[in-house]
Amino acid sequence: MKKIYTLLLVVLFASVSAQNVTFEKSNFPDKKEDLKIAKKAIEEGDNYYLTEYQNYNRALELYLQAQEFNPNNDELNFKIGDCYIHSGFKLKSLPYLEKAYKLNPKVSPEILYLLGRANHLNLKLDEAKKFYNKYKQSLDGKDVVERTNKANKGIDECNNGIELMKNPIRVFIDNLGPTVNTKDPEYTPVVTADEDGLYITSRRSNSTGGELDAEGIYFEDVYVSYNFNKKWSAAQNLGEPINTKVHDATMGVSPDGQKLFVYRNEGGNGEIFECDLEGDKWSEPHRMKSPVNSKAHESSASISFDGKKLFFVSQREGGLGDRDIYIATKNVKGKWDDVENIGPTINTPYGDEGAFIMPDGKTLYFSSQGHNSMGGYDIFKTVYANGKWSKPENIGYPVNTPDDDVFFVMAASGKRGYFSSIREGGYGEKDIYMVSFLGPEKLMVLNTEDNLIASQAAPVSEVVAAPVVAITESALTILKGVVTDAITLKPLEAEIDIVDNVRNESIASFKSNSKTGKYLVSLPAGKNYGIAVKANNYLFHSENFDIPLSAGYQEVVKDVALKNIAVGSKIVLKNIFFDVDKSTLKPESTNELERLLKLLTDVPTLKIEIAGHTDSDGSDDHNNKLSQARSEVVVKWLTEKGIPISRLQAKGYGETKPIATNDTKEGKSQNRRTEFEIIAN
Amino acid sequence: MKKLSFAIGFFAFAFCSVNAQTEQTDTVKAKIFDSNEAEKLYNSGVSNITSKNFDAAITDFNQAITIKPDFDKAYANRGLAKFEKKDFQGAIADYNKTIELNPNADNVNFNRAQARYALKDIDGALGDYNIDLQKNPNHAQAYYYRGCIKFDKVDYKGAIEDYTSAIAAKPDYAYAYNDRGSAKRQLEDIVGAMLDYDKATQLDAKMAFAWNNLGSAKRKKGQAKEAILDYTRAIQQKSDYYIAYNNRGSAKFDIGDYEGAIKDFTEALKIKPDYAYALNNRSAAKFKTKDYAGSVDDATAAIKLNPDYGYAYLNRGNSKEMLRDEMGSCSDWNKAATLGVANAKPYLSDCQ
Repeated sequence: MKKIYTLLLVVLFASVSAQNVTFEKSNFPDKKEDLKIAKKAIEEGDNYYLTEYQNYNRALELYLQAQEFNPNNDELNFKIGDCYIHSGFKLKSLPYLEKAYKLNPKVSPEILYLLGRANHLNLKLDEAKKFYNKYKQSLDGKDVVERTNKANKGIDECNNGIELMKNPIRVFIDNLGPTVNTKDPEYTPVVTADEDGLYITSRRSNSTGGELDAEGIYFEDVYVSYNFNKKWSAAQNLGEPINTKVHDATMGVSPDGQKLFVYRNEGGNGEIFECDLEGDKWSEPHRMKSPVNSKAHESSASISFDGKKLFFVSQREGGLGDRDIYIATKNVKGKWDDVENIGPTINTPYGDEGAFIMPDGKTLYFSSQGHNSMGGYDIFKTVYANGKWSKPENIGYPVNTPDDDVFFVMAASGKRGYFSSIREGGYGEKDIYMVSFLGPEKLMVLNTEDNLIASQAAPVSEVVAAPVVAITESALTILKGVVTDAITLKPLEAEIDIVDNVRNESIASFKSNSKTGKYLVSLPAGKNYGIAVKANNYLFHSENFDIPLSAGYQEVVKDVALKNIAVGSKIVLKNIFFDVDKSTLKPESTNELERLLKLLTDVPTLKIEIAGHTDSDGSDDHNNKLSQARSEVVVKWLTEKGIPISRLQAKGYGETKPIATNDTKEGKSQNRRTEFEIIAN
Repeated sequence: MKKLSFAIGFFAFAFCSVNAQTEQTDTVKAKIFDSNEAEKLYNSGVSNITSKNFDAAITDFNQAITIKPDFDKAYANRGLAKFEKKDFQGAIADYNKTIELNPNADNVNFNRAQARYALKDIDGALGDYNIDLQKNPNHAQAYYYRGCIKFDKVDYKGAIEDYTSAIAAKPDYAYAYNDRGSAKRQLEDIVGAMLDYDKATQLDAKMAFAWNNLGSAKRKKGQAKEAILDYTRAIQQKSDYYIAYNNRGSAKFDIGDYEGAIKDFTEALKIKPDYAYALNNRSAAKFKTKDYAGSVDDATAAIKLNPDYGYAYLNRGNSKEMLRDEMGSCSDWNKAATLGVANAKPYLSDCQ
């Protein structure tokens, strides 16, 4: 009897669950009050859902209340599914839309498209294609072409997704943890080149002003977290003057972390603001002038390693699509005066967002709804070479998904990136994630053996050798350190000039932080760099980095202690070069000589000794003559530029004053040098 | 002269008997001189060789030689018996005596070559094969073994020439086909190798190693599925052929049948538990099935068996990386690199 009763219940339930249940008294004769509450919730939800400025999150809350009362209503399930599609929890839309469709396949003309989209987002790509196709077949009346195109785009994205998922990229994706992420939204991370500082946007309750926007969420503020031994510190609100009562969001940070680009929505129009870190204080953000900002909406800004180009996104007129990437170039006066659309290789008829230029100055990451996106915005990579940008390459699944993957930034090493996403196991809403790129799968090597010689029992082994796997990494050197006073050890604000020694061109000029003395410069591979660190009343310090094109990523820490201009102070002129075993100055020496000339001009009381030194190779006599000749050549260059010979003294020390061992190539290289010493002031 | 020898022999025998008589007077029996006794002992020795009673054979030949010290054939066959007992030095001494007594004795250079080869006196062996082939230009085995020496000397072209001569002299020479296939394989003539291995299996379908080699040539040619069938034939011929299990597992690995590969490597390990290759390979297959912990365990076991097993370090490093053991993976890649594994070096760029 019990079994029959259970069976009856199941049959009854199945029959009821398959039927659409309207919110009518006749369907709930014993729950009139609850029905009234549910209908009220739907009515209120509709006020958010059906208005021009839809607030899907608020509508969703109300609809879900009604759903608890009656889960079998076609329209309500449809609305919940639609709200979820427009929320941060898109994947949850599918069961509601499926139910709405099951209850009433004609619940809405858009149900087929939304089912396509919901399946698409849930990576059920074949199923999604079926619904997109059904949607196309169902279309009539107005907007057929536009809606067909929308479905076709969905189908194309599914096909792209199927291809991309065949070869997923190997990554670890890690939530940055509770020191950075909260139950509130965190997004648009930007990171310094060495990953020491991470700036994010968050909408937390401690938002400046503590007010809610029209969507009922706290206004955006900028927060910072620092990396201490691979652990991120608690994100701190940057406070004023960066943050204000309204939206202040991250857009970009310079590789050295000394310049921040902030989004503000002044006059209902998103614009780019920039500010500088002065000591430990951020300057008042100032709105970037035209032609960077325009009457249209600007979002996303990324500055090149030399500070001379700004990649940004704008919806200004004349673009190739919804929003496009532009490049602004700084003129010799330091003004941004030339803005150009980056062009159709990168910009598409769809949205193109989140431009991020790597510190190598040629690798651009951006997000696009076009190209071979697998849905929404996908992250792409393009490289500038030989005067043009390469065809954008989808960086692949699972970093890219059918949802919007945007505002992705990469560390200078090219091995880690940062982005925001809503994922299982997160702390709520959007969180900041770090993606570690593992590169191509590391091949496992097998060993086999065979009895090749019939008359011998001993097997002959063979290694099934896998080819060496190329590891992709940035061709970039990050030079960083702290500039201090050599005696007091106090941090100094110094000017750091980077020169292309071969072309005798200034590449960029930076300043170390006045409070910490910290500096960071990016040196893309393939150049001979002269680095000069200068500060008033100090002797300049020079470094030379000759980085071949084939060099991989490296971080070099070089602390610089600047010496006062005082008798006895001595520095090595690391960017003076001679032909091998000769006293002929190489052209690459010009910048260093000019720095020396400027010092002597600026401080006319200075008298210096130019000292030549050699390594231990060769005879003493030869080395003495060579070093003397070299020092005289430098003195001659300076006298020809107008420095009186009375202020200059040439001295060749040969190999008598080594500063390193002569037993190694590296040591010998250090010993071959030109120095100058202040002998009077 | 012959009579004189017999006389000397008889005299010596009588003298010995007298001496013996002074010690064991009660056991002396008169021995009747038999003019064919040495030959009879020799024949007995030959019979014992045939029935693999090598100790008895050596005793027979000893006696025959005692009776007839210039009995070259007895030396030659005693050499053979000693060879079979792996007394290669003793065998060579007997062959030397044979040649001394009869420089034209049949096969003696060939046999001495075999003994020298066994003692890794490769050049000595080669010289003997050359002499043998001068005497007998159609000696298939001499060509074959000289081919083996050339193979060992990495003179694969020379080996192929000798194997071809062996086959010309003996068209059903399955070993020669197998080995010529191997020489071709070493020269990357994989198609040629496959044809020769195939012929070898046709001539002798019981040669498990030839099936195995055929499978390996096909695998090298990218025909992993076909290779699996050949390895299976090898295993059918020799059920404890762990090498073929290991190879079949590797072929299954090639086609992405990682579970099947794990089963085969496991079978190889049942037969030979200390088979480091199978442990390393199973580690690789487990990596593919995302059983990274299992992969680390297997690679560790392989390293325990062979502490200088660079590829096992490499593989273990790869699995440790997936287990987020950054230090462990870097340490293993570094070790692999120091052991000469080129693949490991670029991985070290991921290590700080």
